[in-house]
Amino acid sequence: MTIWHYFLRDLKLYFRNASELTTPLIFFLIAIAMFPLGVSPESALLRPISFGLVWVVALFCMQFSLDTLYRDDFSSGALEQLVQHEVPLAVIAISRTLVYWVCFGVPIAIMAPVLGLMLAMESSGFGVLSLTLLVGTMGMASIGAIGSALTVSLKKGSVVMTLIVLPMFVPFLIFGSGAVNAAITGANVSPPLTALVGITVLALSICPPAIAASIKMSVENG
Amino acid sequence: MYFDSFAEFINMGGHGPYVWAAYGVTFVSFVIYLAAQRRARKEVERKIRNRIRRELNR
Amino acid sequence: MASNRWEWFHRWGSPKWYYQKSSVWTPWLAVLSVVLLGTGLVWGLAFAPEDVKQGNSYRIIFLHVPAAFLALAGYYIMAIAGAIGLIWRMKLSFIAMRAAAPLGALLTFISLFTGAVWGKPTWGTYWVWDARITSMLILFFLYLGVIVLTDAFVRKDSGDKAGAILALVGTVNIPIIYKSVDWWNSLHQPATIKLTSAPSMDASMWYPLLLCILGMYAFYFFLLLRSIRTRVVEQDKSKAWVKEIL
Repeated sequence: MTIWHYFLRDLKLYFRNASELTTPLIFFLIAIAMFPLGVSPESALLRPISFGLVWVVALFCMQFSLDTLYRDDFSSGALEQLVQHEVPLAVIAISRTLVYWVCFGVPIAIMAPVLGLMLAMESSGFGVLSLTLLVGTMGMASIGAIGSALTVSLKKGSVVMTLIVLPMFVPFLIFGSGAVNAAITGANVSPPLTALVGITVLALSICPPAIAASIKMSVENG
Repeated sequence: MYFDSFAEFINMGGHGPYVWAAYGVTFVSFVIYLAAQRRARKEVERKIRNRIRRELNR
Repeated sequence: MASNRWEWFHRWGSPKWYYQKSSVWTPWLAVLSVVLLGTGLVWGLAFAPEDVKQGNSYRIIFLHVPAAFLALAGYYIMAIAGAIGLIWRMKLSFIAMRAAAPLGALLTFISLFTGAVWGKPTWGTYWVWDARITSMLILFFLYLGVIVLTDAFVRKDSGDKAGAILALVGTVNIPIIYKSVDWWNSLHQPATIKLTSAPSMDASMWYPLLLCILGMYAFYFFLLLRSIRTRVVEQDKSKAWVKEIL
């Protein structure tokens, strides 16, 4: 069985459970709609903070359903079998991270310009907003998967996970929204964008061994 | 001594409250940490002593 | 030659050996830290000259900088201890990691607090989103994460491994967080506030600061070794050597 096989199987599993898939995206929409109500409906106020708000809420969305990564497999005992499987855990981990990104990261990146529009964001930043979210959600999914694997054996794991994962999202947020800012103000987009791609590649490369070690630890913990 | 009098030393040219708040809070935090460490230590020792006593009585 | 080195290494795995040795080291560290910190702080507070730009408020530096140094160094100490524990399955190393976490968080808090109080007379406000302050705040969150995660596991063994993995992932992250926050700050820094005005340090200010930094290192290791001692006794509570010493 190849990595491709795992990827397709996990993808099917996610799509079978439609509500799990749509809930974070609905949250994305509702959370953004709260800001004009809480701050002000005036576009002059919303415009400068719009892409920042979209990025911050997208970041919350990414850790919103990290629980779905390993929780079911852990409680059903499937995770234990994966540990003994001939396919290295790291390979399975990377495939599942990619599935998670396809299911949540990609829709977030597609939805973002629409939400930006609702917050009176400058249209010149839409493309970069989508692009940075497309890249950034991949990196955040990798880091988030480590947090999920670390806390899956805990009863109240999702609270602990939020606490350990959010601080590590900071560089993605900074370079992501920084690149959008650069695009809107007419500054050079490439330095923050390159940095964002760089840290995403780094996160993708350190996450497989860290996830594998975390899953082994979680299975031992039982 | 850089300062002319003790009152000037406390006042720190108007910056006294800031300087002494920083030093005070640092000092108090270390004291609390040390006290917590001491309590943990006593607690561990007490538990082990109790167990040894129970084992001897048996 | 090689076997000697490993002998030395393996003794570190022995809690009893650690307990005996550390009972010799801790009093020396205590004396060292009292002498160094005592001299450094009194010198800095009462004898060093006033800073030309910042006045006497700069005297907070004698606490702020040593605390910030050890807050950062403490994270690496914690992570390296966790790595050694993961690789060589050394219990004592995991104990050191667990002990380093709250101590590091305390020092991060102290450096944040002293920084905020120093900020008021210098920048006119307690909190600015300056690059170094923001990084320190995130470092504080990283410490809290390790503490919460290790404590969440009922099984000590699992908590040890989880904390070590998280601490290691964090070490990769720290330089990136610093770089990103630095870049972010250069982007948004308001022109009215100049944050780079580190006091132009004269030798008469440098010497007490150096003493304070060295003293804080000694004090850190004093507190760390003591905390490890308690945890070692707790872990080996049913071993013969613990019963003997009590």
